[in-house]
Amino acid sequence: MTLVFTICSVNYLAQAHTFGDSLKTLNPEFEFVIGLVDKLETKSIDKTKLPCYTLLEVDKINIPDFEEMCDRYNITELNTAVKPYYFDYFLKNRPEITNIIYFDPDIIIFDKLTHLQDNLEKYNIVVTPHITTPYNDNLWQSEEDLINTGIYNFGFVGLKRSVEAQKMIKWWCEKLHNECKIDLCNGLFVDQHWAEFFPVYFDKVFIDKHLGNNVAYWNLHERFCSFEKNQWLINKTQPLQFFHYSGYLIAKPNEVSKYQNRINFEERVDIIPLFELYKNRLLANNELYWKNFKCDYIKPPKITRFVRVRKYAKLPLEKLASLIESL
Amino acid sequence: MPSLPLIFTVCHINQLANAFVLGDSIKKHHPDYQFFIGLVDSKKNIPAKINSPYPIIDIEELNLDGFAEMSRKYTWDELSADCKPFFAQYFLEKNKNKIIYFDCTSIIYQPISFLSEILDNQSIILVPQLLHAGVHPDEKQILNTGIFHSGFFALKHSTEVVSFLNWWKENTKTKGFHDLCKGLNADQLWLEHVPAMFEKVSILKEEGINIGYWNLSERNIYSDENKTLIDEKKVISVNFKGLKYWKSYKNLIEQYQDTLLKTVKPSYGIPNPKDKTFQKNIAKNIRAINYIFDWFLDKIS
Repeated sequence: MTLVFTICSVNYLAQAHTFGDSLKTLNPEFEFVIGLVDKLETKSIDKTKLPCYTLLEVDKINIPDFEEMCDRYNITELNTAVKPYYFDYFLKNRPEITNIIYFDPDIIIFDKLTHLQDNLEKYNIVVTPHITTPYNDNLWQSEEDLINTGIYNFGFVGLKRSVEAQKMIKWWCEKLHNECKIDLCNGLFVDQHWAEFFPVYFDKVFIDKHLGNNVAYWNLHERFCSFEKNQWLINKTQPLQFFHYSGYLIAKPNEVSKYQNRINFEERVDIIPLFELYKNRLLANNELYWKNFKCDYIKPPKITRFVRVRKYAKLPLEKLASLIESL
Repeated sequence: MPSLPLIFTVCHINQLANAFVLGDSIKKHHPDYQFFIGLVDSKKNIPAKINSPYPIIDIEELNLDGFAEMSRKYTWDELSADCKPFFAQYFLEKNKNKIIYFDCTSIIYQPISFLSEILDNQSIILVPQLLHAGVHPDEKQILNTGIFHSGFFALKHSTEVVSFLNWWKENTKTKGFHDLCKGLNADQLWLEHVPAMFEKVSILKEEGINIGYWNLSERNIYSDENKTLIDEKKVISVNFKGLKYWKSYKNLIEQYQDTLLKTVKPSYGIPNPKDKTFQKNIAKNIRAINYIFDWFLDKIS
C-alpha cells in the first residue's frame, strides 16, 4: 500500500485539493492525506467547500515538545519542520503502508506513478535534484543559490518502509526540531538543506534524474514541454510525471515564479498551457475563498519598544566590540 | 595495457615540504605510480638549495586564460584551491587514464589500488566529509562548507569527466571565493552538484580515507595520548590540513627544510585575511552583555 501526503495550512487548501484530484485521477489506488498545520475548529468554514480527503491536523500527530517548535519557528520554518514528523507518524501508526511519498501542495501529477513505484522497490529513499545540467548564465537562481539552499528539492521525497528509512526519519526529526531555520550564513535552509546528507549518510538513496519529475522554474532551462497524443512530454521523450508550480501566484498570472528571473512566458510559450490549466483548477477549487484564512500558528508580530533607548544604552559596549574586531 | 594512475597534488612553494612527504608515502606503497606536484607559484622562486625529488609543473606552464585576473582577485588559499580543476585537466591529458588528487597535507598509509578498481566502472570518485548521521557535534558546519571534501578525488579519462572539469574550472575561475553566506567555498562547494549533474559518480563511503579534523569526531583513530594510530590497517590516508601536526609528521616535513620553505611568500594571489576568530569571539561575548538592556526593557514595557 502506498500513502501520499502533502502539508499546508487552511489558506492553501485549494492547492492541496487540486493536487489530490490530480493524484487520484491517475493513481486511484493511492491513499491521500492532507497534513494541516492549522486548526479547523477555530474557523467558521463552509464545510461544503472542504476537499473530500483526510485532513490530519498537526496537533494530532504527537510531535514531542510541539509547543517549543511553534515558539521557535516562523510559519515557513514550522510548515517544513513537521515533514519528517508526519513520515514518522505514518511509519508508526500505519503498519500496512509500505511506501510513503510526500509532495508539496503546489504540484500537479500528470501520469501514473509507476516509474516512482518501481524505484521504491529497489531503493529506500528517492530524491529529485533541482537541476541535472548547468545553467551557463548569470541569472537568478544561480548554481550557488542551489548549493546554499539544497541540491535536491524537497517538494518531493519518497521512502520505502525499511530500517534505513526509519534511521533517516529519526535523524531528520532530531535536526528539524531545533535547526529548521533559514540562516544561509550558517548553512541552514529549513528541511531541504539537511537532506543534502541523505546520499552520504544512508544506503540505497536514489537520485532520480527522470526529466519528467519535479519540473519547475529551476529546471525549465533543460526541459521543454509539449503536448502530444493526449500526453505532456518533456524534451519530446519523457512523459511528464509531476509539475511543481513553486512561487506562482494567481494574483500575478504573468510571472512564472516569484523566486527567479530566468524563465518567463514570453520566451517559454510551451509552458503557458500548463499554467493556464493550473490557474483554472485552483479557481475551481475555491482558491479565492481559502486564501484569506489566517493560520493559527502564525505568531503576532513582536513589537519592540524603547528603540532609541536601547540603541544608546548599547552604544559603549558596541563600540568596544567593533574596536576589538578591527584589531 | 592502460597506464597506471597518476597521483598529483597542488600547492604553493611554502607547502612543498608537505608535498614531498606525500610523494614519499605514495612511492612507499606504489613505487610504479607517477607522482606530480602542481605548483601555484613560479618554479624559479624555489630556494636554490631545495632539490625536488618529484617532478613539478608550475602554473605558468598551463598557460591559463584569465589566470592574471584570478591572481588579482583570489586570496592565496582560494587561488590554490581554484587551480585544482585546471591541474586535474592537465594531468588527465598527460595520463589519459586515471588520476588521483590528494591535498599536499596528506599521507597515505596503505596501498590504494582499490581506487583504480573503482574507476574501472566509475568516472568520478568523491569523498564525503562525514559518513555517520548525528555524530559530529555541529553537522550544520559541514552543510555550510560542503558535504564532500575536495582534499581528495579521483577521475577517469572520459567524456563525462571532460565536461565535469570544464564546468568545475569555469566556476572556480569566476566564482571561486570563500563566502559561505553566498554558497561559495572556493573549489569545494561546487562538488555538491556533481552526483546530480554527472553520471557514474561514486560516493566513497570508506572511513579510512581522508581522515581529517572535520571527521575525527566520528573516527577514533588514536589509541593513546601520543596519537599512535589505533589500527594502522584501517587508516588509508590522513589529511593534516587545519590539524595540529603530529610530532612524527613535523619531523617528516622538517627533513625537507619546511622551516625555510615556509618563509617563501606566494607570488600569485592576495594575502589571506588575518584569522579573526579570537577577536570575533571576544566581541560576541561583549555584545551578549548588551542583551541585558533588551531583557530589562522587554520586562518593563
